[in-house]
Amino acid sequence: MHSNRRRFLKSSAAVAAGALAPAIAAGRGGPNDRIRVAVVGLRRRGRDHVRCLHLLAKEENLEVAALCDVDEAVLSQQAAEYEKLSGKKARLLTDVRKLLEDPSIDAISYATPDHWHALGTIWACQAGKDVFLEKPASHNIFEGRKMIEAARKYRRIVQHGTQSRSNPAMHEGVAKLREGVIGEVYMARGLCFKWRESIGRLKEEPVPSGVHYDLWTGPAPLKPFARQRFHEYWHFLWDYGNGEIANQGVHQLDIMRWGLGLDTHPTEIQSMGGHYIHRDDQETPNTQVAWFRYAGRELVLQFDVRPWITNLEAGIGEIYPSRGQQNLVGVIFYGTEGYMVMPGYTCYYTFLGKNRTPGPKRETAEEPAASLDHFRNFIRAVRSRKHTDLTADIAEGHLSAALSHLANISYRTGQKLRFDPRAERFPNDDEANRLLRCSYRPPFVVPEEV
Amino acid sequence: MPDWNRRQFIATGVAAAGRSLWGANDRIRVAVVGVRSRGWRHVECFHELAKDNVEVAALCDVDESILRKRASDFQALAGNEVKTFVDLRKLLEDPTIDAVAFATPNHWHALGTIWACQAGKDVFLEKPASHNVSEGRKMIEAARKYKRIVQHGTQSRSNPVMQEGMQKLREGVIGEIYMARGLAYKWRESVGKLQEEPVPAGVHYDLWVGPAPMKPFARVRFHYSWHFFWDYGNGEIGNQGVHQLDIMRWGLGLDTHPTRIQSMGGHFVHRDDQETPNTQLAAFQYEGRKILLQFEVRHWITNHEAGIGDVYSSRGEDNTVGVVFYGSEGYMVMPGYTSYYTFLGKERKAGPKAEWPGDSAANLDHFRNFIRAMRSRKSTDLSADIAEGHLSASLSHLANIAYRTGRTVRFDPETERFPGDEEANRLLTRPYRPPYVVPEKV
Repeated sequence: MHSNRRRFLKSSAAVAAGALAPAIAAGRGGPNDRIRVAVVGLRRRGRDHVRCLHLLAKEENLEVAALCDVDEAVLSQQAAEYEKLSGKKARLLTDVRKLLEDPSIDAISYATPDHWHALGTIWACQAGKDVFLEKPASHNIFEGRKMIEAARKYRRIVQHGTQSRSNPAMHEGVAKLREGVIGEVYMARGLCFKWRESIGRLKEEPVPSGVHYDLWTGPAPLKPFARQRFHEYWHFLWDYGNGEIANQGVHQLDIMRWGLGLDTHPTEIQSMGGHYIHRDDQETPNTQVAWFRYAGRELVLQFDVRPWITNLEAGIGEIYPSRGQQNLVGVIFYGTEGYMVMPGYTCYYTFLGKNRTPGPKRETAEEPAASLDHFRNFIRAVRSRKHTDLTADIAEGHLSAALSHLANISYRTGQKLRFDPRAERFPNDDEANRLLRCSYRPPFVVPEEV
Repeated sequence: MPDWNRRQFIATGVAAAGRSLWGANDRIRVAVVGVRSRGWRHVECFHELAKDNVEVAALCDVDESILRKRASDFQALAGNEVKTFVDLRKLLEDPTIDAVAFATPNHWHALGTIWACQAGKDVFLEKPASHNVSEGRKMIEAARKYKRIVQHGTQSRSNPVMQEGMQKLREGVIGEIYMARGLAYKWRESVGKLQEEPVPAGVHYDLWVGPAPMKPFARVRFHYSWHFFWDYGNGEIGNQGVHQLDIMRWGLGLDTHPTRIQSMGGHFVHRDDQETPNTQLAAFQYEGRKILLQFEVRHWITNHEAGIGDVYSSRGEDNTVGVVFYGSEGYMVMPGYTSYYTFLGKERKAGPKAEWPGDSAANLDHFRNFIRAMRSRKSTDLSADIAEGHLSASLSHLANIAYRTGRTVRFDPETERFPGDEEANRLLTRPYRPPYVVPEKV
């Protein structure tokens, strides 16, 4: 348990990173060196990571060298799957700290719950590893800033898992927006209508055997084990997740920012909603609207989260693909000359003029292609050592995740918020400022100084 | 003139002259005020109700060219002449007029209605009921005090298909409702830049300005585009929006004000002098109710939504106007004023629906309902009594106050004030230009 202080605290970690980073840059970073990646958090999205990385293994000269999960049942199952897939045995670990001590590992791919994202990433940077990180970048806004600092300080490549950023159709769509295909854009609407059943009532249970619950809890307050807090459901409790707007929503918020060239935080934020239909212990709203405005920009961003039976919208989910039959996920941009629909992660459609005449469009294959391109981009930046080669550098991840956090803070305080993008604070609003970070449970502390 | 208000309509005399007993055979004589566009629809509707023993007896407009044209239109329509008035006050002095239908700009709604009540006339009033929240309360007080019938022009309330849809909602056709979303996507060109001009011949501009601050005449503030200036109108949410806000309240049985209101938006696309937002989002929550009301205004190129405007007809080709209710068992779409459609379960299976075969604007039934309540003398017979109009118009006002103050506002439905928020409270009323003063005591 001293691993944290021993290896990753400020000074010593800097030394360690100083020792490791050049080694990578000079050694395994070369075009002919095999990049050894470890995947942390394997149950669902992490399984996709393993598959994507394996698909790229030959072409990009990489190897899934280690798998890490705090649930031993998940770990052994995914280990077996990986062996079947690749014919190889990966190193298996339950504690990310042990993994970070392994000098043969070059990069970590995280698909843990949100509350572990920042600490895992900062530790990895301190340990001289590059990072591919699932969205949302952070569990709160303070963390996002610290992650950028860590990435820069230790010269690490940190890719944020908003895979649309690496999709050619999305790139083309955003280029068209910039060229003015729909004129001047004054509004973007993000939609996240995903079917969500009730998570049920929190019921205290013994920790299942093989689950390292203290590790799973990590930076969060230690509470009795309950399945409703664990796999999948943690998204909907504030200690670990950030609700649907940060789960699915962050993809669309990121696309909205990207399309509009918003490389700062909004200055005005409103959100309203509730947890409806289900009578259970979910804490995050399942029905939420959020709106954003930016100083000096003549535009409004809006976001709509629904959990249940709803109409589809703008063709998304019926005419155009989306995330599954019951779901509608996408972004619509509104401009002076028309509108653009971006369902899911891999296509765009335009409708021009008063009569909505179909204009330019492009479709590319859905998953896993979108993620594949994103991992490829990561690996190539790992080789080039330029974070500017990343399509979704952690700095982008921070801004997009921050939109969901800001919406949630407005929702939780019940107030419209005014945010100072430079200071990353709410001027004269202590209640809101308190929600910019959380208190960390030692030794799982996101440090002030990375 | 200045004394006119006080002389004629304060409290007693005239009001007592108001008719309070009607036989089925008594002819009801109606005057229509503001006859350029919507007011002419009023005239046509009342004329159609001739068989219910109703007569359009007078027209009133502050623009003499419009008044002349409509008088001759009326001659063509009805085959007889109609009295004409420029000044509403003269009209209200006419004891042969039983009811006044107002289709004036919003800033005249309250004063016109209160004066009419004081003069013993019943009122059919275009939406939105009021130009601000405090006016709505005064209008209710006037209607009650002078025992007048005051119908608010949210005509969906009188449409049998809408009534059926509401009944289905109450029966739980889509289960427990947790959200309603109102849409007012209406094509709006630029109003242009304000340009001072001489008052056109025949326009009684002082009368038109009425309770509002006197400003130089400009076409951009005048016919129709007054909707988009705070002195006279309430923006799109207080124009088209009130219909859908009213339907949302109706469907959810919300017979009080919301307690927390947010709004955001802007005036985008056009570079002109319009003051109200053309792009607006609003959300409302009610104390003790687990629901979210959301409203969206767009004015330009947009997708339709929930089938409204493409699958189901709405208010014109380019428009998407309607309400969607979301419940635990499905959702209901109410495009425009005369239809509903339900979609049930995870698969969105088409459920009960109905479409009104008649006029999609649902006008006639609403005027008929007014006439019948005039005869019964029961405001409870109205499908859209002024008390309903007040609550629905207030939703648009509250959204606009949240928009203009730039914050989440908290409203006390009992006192109709924002506790501890003087800036927001100031927007609950306006300074009135004498003699056009909405009185504290009606």
